[in-house]
Amino acid sequence: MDWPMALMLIFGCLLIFMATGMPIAFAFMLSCVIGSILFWGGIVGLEQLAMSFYSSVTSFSLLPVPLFVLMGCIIFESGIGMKMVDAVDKLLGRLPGRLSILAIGAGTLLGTMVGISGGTIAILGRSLVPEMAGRGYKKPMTVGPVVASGALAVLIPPSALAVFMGAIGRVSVGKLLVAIIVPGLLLAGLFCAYIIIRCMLQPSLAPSYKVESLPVVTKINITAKYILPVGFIIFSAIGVVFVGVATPSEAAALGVMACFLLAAVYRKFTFSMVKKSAVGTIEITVMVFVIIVGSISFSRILASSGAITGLIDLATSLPVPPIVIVIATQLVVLFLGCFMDPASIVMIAAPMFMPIISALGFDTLWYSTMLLINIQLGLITPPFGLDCYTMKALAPPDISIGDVFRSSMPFLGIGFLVIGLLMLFPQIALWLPGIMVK
Amino acid sequence: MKSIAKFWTVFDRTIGVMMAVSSALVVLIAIAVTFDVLMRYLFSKTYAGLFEITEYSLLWITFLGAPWIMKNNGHVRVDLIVNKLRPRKRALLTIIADFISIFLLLTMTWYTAGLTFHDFRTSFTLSGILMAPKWPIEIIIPIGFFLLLLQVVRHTLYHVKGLRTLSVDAFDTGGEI
Amino acid sequence: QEKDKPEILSMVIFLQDIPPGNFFTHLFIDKVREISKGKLVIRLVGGPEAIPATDAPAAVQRGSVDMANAMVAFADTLAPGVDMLGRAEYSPEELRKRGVVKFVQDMFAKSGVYYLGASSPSKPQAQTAIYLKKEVKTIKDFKGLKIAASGGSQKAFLEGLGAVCVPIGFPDYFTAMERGTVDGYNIGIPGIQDFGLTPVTGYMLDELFSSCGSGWLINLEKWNGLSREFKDVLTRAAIETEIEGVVEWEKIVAGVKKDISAEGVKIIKFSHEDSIEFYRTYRDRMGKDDLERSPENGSKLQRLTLNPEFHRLK
Ligand code: NA
Ligand code: NA
Repeated sequence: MDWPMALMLIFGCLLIFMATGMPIAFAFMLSCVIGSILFWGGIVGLEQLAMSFYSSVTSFSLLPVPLFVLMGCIIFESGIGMKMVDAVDKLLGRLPGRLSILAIGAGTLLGTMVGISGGTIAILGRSLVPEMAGRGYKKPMTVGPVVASGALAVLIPPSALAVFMGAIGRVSVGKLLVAIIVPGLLLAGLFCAYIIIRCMLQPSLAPSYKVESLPVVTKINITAKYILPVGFIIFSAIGVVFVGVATPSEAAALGVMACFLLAAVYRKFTFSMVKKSAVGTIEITVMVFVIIVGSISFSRILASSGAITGLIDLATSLPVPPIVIVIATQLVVLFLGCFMDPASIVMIAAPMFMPIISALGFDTLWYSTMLLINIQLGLITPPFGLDCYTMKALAPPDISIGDVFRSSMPFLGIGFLVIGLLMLFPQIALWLPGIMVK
Repeated sequence: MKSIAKFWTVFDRTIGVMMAVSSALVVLIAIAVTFDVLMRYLFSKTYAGLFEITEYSLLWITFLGAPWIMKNNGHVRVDLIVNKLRPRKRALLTIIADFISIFLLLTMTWYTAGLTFHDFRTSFTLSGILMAPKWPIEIIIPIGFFLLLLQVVRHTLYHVKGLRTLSVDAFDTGGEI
Repeated sequence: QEKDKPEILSMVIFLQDIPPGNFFTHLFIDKVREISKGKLVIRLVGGPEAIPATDAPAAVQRGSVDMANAMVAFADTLAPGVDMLGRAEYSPEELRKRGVVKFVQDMFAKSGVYYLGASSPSKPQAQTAIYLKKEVKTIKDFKGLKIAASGGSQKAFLEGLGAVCVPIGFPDYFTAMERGTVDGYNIGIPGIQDFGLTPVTGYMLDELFSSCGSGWLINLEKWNGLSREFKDVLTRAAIETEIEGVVEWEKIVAGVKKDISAEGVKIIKFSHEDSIEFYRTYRDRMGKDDLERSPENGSKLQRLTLNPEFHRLK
C-alpha cells in the first residue's frame, strides 16, 4: 500500500470511530486492529498488538500521572485547596481573572519540577477547577488556563521531552534546556496578558466580587496560614529533585506524602479522605491510561506503515525557498500532533528533520525549540489531544470534551503566535544559551 | 430473570472490589517509592526490584479500574457530532457504536488471553532484576477486557430496550445503570 | 517481469536510525543489496517507535516483521541464556569459529527464529563504560556510589564493586545526574551521546566491559523459504559485517571520546592491578549470575565463550 492511501485509511478510521461517540480509547484500539492487520503481518499483527498494549503503560515515566492526580485529590478533598484559593482571592484583590492567573503561575512553578505535561494538569485540574467554578468562573477561564499550564511543564527544565529531543536530534541538550526557558516564560506571560485583557472585556467570565481591603498584618497572617503550606507541598516535591534526593519521576511520591502530612496538620487526615482521594485518582488515571494504551499502539502502527516517512519526505523535498521548508516541516508536525503522542513524534521527526534543517543552513537549536513547542501544542489540538482528555477526565461532568477544546483554543493560538515570533526573532531562543552556555 | 439480576449483582461486586484494589495500589506505590527514595538517600540502600513492581502496578491499576469506570460511563468520548443528531438517529448511532465496541472487546479479549496463555506455555520471562514470569502480570489485560465486554453488552441491552420504547432518557445519560 | 522484482525483507532495529548507532544496520543492508546485486533488499520499517525493543524478538518469531536487529537480552525466553553473549571473551569472528553461532542458532531454532550473527560487533569486552560525576581513583572509591542502570543491567557487577544499582529509566538520567541523585551510570559507550548526557557527566571510566549483545534475527519460516543463494547472501553479509564492524566500533568509540573530551568530560583509567580486579569482579559476578539465570545452557555457553587466557585477566 502506498503511503497516501495508508495515511487516509488509518486516520479516516480513527475519525469515523471517534465520531460515533464511542470511548476514545476504543476508537484508537479499533484503528489499531485494522492497522495491525495491514502493517504487522496480517492476523498475527493482532498478537503483536496484544503485546504492544502491555508495554504501553508499564513505564515508570508514567508514574507522575497518578501521583499528581492523587496530590490534587488530597488537596481538594481535605479542603486545603479551597482555603488557599480563598487566601489568593483576598490577597490579589481586584486583579481581573486572578484565579486563572493563579493557574498559570502554579503551572509555571510546577513546571520547574514536572517533566511531563499531564502532571500539572492533573494536580491543578483536581484542586483548582472546582474551586474556580464554585466562584462563578466560566469555562474559558477555568479549564482553558489549566490545560494551557500543561504546556509550560515541558518548556521549563527539567523537561524529559526536551532531553529526549536534544539527544535524538543531536542538538546539545544543555543548550536546548536553556533555550526553552525564555519562550516558556514568554508563553506564560502572554497567557496571563490574555487572561487579564479578556476578563476586562468580558467581566462575566471571571466575576470580580467585592473584596474588602485588608490590613497588612491580616495579609501576612493569611499567607502564613494558607499560602505557605501549599508552597511547602510544591517545594517539597520540587526541592527533592533539586537537592538530588529523587528523580523527576519519583518526586511526585514525596509530594503525595507532603500532602498527607499537611492534611494531618489541618486535622483533615481521615480514612474517608484517603479513600475518596484514592478512588478519585483511579477514576482519572484509568481514563487517561486506557487512552494511552490505545494511542501509543496507534502511534507504533503509524510508524510501521511508512506513511509518516512518506509525508516527511514530501515536505522536505518541495522545490521552495528554505524557510518554506521550515514552515512545511512544522506544519507536518502540527498535523502529526493531531493524532500522535509527543514521544513518538520526536522519535520520528527529530532524526529526519535535523540533518535537513542543518543542511539548509539553519540553527538546529532554534529549530528544535520551535519543534518542541509545536509538538507540545499537539497535546491540545483535536481530535487527539491527550491533555484535553486528561482535563475532561478531571473536570466536573457538565464540561464536555468540546468545551475543553474550545476553551483551550485561544491558548493554542498564543502558542502558535510564540512559534511565529520565534521564527521571526530567533534570538528569543538563542539569546539565553548564548550568554549562559559556552 | 432473577438469575440474570443475580449475575449483575455479582458482577458489580466484582468490579467494585477490583476498583478498591486499584485505589489501594496507587497509595501503596506512593508510600513504597517514598520509602525507597529516602532509604537510598539516607542510607544508600535500595530495593532495586521496586522499579519493576511499580511498572507492573501501573498496568494493573489501569485494567483493574477500567470496567468500573465503564459502568459509571467515565471513559472520555467525543460527543460533538452525536449531540447534534436527532434522538432517533442518535440512538441508532449509539447502538451501532455499541456493536462495534463489542466486536473490538471480543477480539481483544481473545488475543490478549491467547498471548497470556502463550507466555504461560513458553514461560516467558521479563528481562530485568526480578526475572518475573510475564503471564501472571499480563493476565489482568484479558480479565479487564472481558469485564469491559460484559459491561458494554449490558449497556447495549439497555440501549436496545431504550430504542424500542424510544426513551431518549437512556441515551442522555449515556446508559448509566 | 515478476522475476526482476527483488525479494524484500522487512526489518526493525532496537535503536533510532541515527548515527553512530545505525552504522552496522546500514552496513549490513548495503552489503545484502550489493552481494545479491539488488535481488535481495532489506526494507527498514523503523526503530523502537515502530516496535519497541522489548517486543522485537517476538515480532520476528510470529512474523509481524521478517527480521530484526534485536537486543538479545529481550530474546532470552526464545533462547534461554543467549544474553550471555554479552560476557563473551572472544571476538564475533572467533566465536563463529568456536561454533557459538551454530549453538545459538540451535537454541533459537526451537522457537522458530533464525540467528544470523552479531549486529554490533567489537573486540571482546569493549562496549560498555561507567560514566561518573566525580573522579574515582581506585576501585575502592566505588563503595556506596549510586550507579544508574536501566533495567537493572549489570546489577551483580555493580554490587560486586560495592556500588548501589539504581534502576531508573532513561528519561530520568539527565536530571538525576545533574542534581546528583545518582553518582554515575552504566551505559553502552555511545549512550552518553544518544541520551544527551555529556553536559552532566564529569568522567568516563575507561575500563570497558561487555561484548556485543545484539544480533540479526529472522523468522525461521521466512528463512527456510529463502533460496540457497539468498541464504548465502545474508550469511556472507553478516560475516563481513562482523569483521568490518570491529574496526568501525573502535572508530565510533574514538569519536565519542574525542567529542566528550572536547566538552569537558575527563577520561580516566585505573592502575593495572585495579583494572584487573575491576574486570575480574565483572567476570565473576556476572558469570555467577548467568549460571543462576540459565542453568541449562549456562555452563555450555560459558565453556564456549569464556577465554581462560583473556588478556584482561593478567
Ligand atoms: Na518542567
Ligand atoms: Na492533538
